[in-house]
Amino acid sequence: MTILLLVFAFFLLIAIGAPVAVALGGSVVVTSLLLDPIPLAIIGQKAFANLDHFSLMAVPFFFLASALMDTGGLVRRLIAFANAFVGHFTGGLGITTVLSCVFFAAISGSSPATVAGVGRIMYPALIRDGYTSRYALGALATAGSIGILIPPSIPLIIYGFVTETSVTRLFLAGVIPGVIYALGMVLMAALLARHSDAPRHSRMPWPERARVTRSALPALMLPVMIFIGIYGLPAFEFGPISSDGGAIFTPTEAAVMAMLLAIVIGMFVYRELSPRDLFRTIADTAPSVGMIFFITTNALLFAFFITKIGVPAAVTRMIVDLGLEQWQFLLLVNVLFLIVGFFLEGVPTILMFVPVLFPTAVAMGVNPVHFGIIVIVNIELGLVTPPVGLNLFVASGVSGRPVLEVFRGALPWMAVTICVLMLVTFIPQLSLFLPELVFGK
Amino acid sequence: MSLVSAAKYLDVALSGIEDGLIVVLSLAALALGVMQVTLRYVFNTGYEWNEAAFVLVTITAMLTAGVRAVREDRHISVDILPSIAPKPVAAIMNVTAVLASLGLCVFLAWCGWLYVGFARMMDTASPETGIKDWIVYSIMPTMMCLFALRYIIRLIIGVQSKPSHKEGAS
Amino acid sequence: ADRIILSNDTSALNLKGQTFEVLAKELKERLGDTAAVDVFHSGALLDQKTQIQGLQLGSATFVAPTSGIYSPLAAGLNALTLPFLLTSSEMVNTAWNDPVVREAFVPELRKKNIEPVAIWLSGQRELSYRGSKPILTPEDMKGVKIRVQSVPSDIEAFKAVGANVISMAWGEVASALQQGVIDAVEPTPMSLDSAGMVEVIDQMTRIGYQYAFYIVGANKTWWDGLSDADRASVQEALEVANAFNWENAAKENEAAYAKIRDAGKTIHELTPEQLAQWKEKMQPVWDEFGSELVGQDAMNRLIEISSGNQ
Ligand code: NA
Ligand code: NA
Repeated sequence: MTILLLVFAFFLLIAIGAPVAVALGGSVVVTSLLLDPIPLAIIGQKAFANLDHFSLMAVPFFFLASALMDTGGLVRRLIAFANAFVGHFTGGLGITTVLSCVFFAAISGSSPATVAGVGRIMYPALIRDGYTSRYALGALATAGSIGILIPPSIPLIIYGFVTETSVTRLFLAGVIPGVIYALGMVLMAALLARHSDAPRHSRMPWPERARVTRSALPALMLPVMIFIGIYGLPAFEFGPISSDGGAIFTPTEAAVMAMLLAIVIGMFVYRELSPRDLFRTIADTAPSVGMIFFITTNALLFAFFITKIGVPAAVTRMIVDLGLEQWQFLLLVNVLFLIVGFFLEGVPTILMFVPVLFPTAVAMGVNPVHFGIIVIVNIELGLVTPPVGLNLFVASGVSGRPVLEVFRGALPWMAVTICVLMLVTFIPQLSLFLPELVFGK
Repeated sequence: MSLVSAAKYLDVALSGIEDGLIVVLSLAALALGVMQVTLRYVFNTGYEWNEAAFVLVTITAMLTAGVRAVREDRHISVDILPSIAPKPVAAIMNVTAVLASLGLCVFLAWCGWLYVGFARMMDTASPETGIKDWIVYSIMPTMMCLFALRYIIRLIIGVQSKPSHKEGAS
Repeated sequence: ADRIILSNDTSALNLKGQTFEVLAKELKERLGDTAAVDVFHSGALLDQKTQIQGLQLGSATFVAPTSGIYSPLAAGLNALTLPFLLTSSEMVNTAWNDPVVREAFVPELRKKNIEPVAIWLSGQRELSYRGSKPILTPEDMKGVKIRVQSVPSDIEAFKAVGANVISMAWGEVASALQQGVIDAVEPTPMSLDSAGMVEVIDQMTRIGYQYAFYIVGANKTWWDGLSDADRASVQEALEVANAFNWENAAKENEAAYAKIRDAGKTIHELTPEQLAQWKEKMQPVWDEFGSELVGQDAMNRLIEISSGNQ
């Protein structure tokens, strides 16, 4: 009865177009007031305590860092760099788009930020070069989703936060699937370009390449510095210089340092970020994070309530009673996330479903890190499926083309996403190899 | 001054305050985070209160940004039904959605206020910062009041049709 | 007795989790259909930070956080974990049952709607760290980045030996240690093992500077509202759970030491002289947190218990 009212209130609020956060929090409030009271002060406690976690603080800083890289001219130089080396292949500019997304992804924790950052520059460039808008839109919307697979990644941070899994391990786990995804996208870029009449460019001469590389170097150093900061250098001794190779900061502190570096490079190296730009970029970007924080606190209130009324335990019992094999369970999870992904974005999806599914997954012997990567690739898919697909909206926003056209463009590219999803689901070693190599089992 | 123009005036004033708070607090949090890393790695020292302060400033900055997101309608929703429903029905749905949001924010502010009262009764303080817990817990009800104020302004100025989605999370 | 909610802030698999399960089973057997008993593990309902308030406000019936978590509510509890004061389970147990010592924190907890009903054991806090250099004397501890709980007397104890004290959420500690963000930690062997840190550390030094334990708290409104018969049943159930816990704590810690040794990590035993050096450096903390917080009488009792002149 309680659960029925909760679900009914939730969907009613969603249906009338109330914010997802309000649907989550509102359904709990209505249900608990009517049927299963929680002390009101506990709701007050939860609302604050849900946000009071160090690891959650990485989200705003990675978000702001991405936006500042765009404003500060780092993104433009990364794209020029990618183009200098792959521009002459068939589908060269398409491949440039994919690689630019990879470079940007290595600093950005967010896929829509990747689509927006790369798309603002690449979409006009692709059209100018003779690519169809369908090709350009598909490339951007799907390749952009690599932003959350290659570390850092906001959804992985949230997943680690909800499941108490090491974010450092999760980040490493995303690297190999991310590279496979990128290779798949590069192949698709070349393959699809054969069917359009995109021009081929001549190879860029080496002095020109050197110039572009020099200009991009500070921007390229940023992800390198973040990576070293999180994972440390191998220990070495070289004459008087020695290092014990320890890491310098936690993933949360890495986000802070990424923002600092983006400001320093944009302001003092490229001189494209004025104090005024800094002010505007922060003020305009932060509300998107404010939205995430409001969803987070309400989603965790929701999770608290369904835990209290015993839903996760019941679901786990039900799935265990079904007697599924591990692979059947994982397939079921993929189907569930596909359906959820039509309607919900990544962060709310994790906050709502992972607390229910995670204990079951662990009980079925799925590795928490592996499960995290499965969830993330599912979310990548959800980013490009209508009616609610953030990458579709952003690509539509930067191009001025309708959402449906973006989706049609994305369809062939989604084959790559689905292949990667299957690989990641059924070959745990793709996710687990790197973290186990570095940290042991 | 009519109610609508008063609301519009309040909207502009509030926007300026929000912008200022968001930027100043974000940069303060940045400074605290950088300070923590630098002190620990370069000087091999640090303050116990640093991390707690960093978290509090960041939360306050981002909740203020959440208030701003109400104004710009950036709180993600699934607006399929309102977008295909006939205009008058859609208008009712939009107003109901805003009322529900307002109700939730007022309710959370109330719960947060009760919680602050509880913390005052316990009279506990954070071991790291020495700040009384109830002062810290006041952040939530204060911000929920501002959320509510933003929703009230939207009700008065008019619940316009929603602008297209902007950049979001994932 | 309605609904009884047991909220565990750690995993279901470690000793505390198992003890909670025993308690739940015994409660169900004794109270029968009059009460529904639910156990929540891994902080799924209330995490380490929020559980005490959850207990006070009635969202949980029983919680069992580590003693330091209660200290903002009853400052006197800090005296039980002063460095080199109570260093064995027997001393902790004696102190827990001592009327003079109890006076220093029980009334305070009761005033705040908490009925302290039992203690469960964790173990001796040892120094576990990365790196090849052994830490044997307080001098070796200079500049070492160590994570301690945010308990003022713990922080001061390690500052007194010149360590660089870092407070950090327990969930982040394993990866921070792995990456070298911090150098050392000081949990009990059992907690070190259940946090998966045995592989991460290189060495352990047995300073055993305090004996860590959990305080089982009950919601006092609920506790006082029980009928005498029900309260007796609950107390019986608690006694069974306590016995299970006390029986297994030593075993689990021994197993953890063995596991550390089997993983090829060095465990340093200190000489009495070395231990005396640690004690000498850390003991000044007593002045700051001892008599001032618990009063001279209780502090004298604790010192008697500590020196074995009970
Ligand atoms: Na990324
Ligand atoms: Na979708």
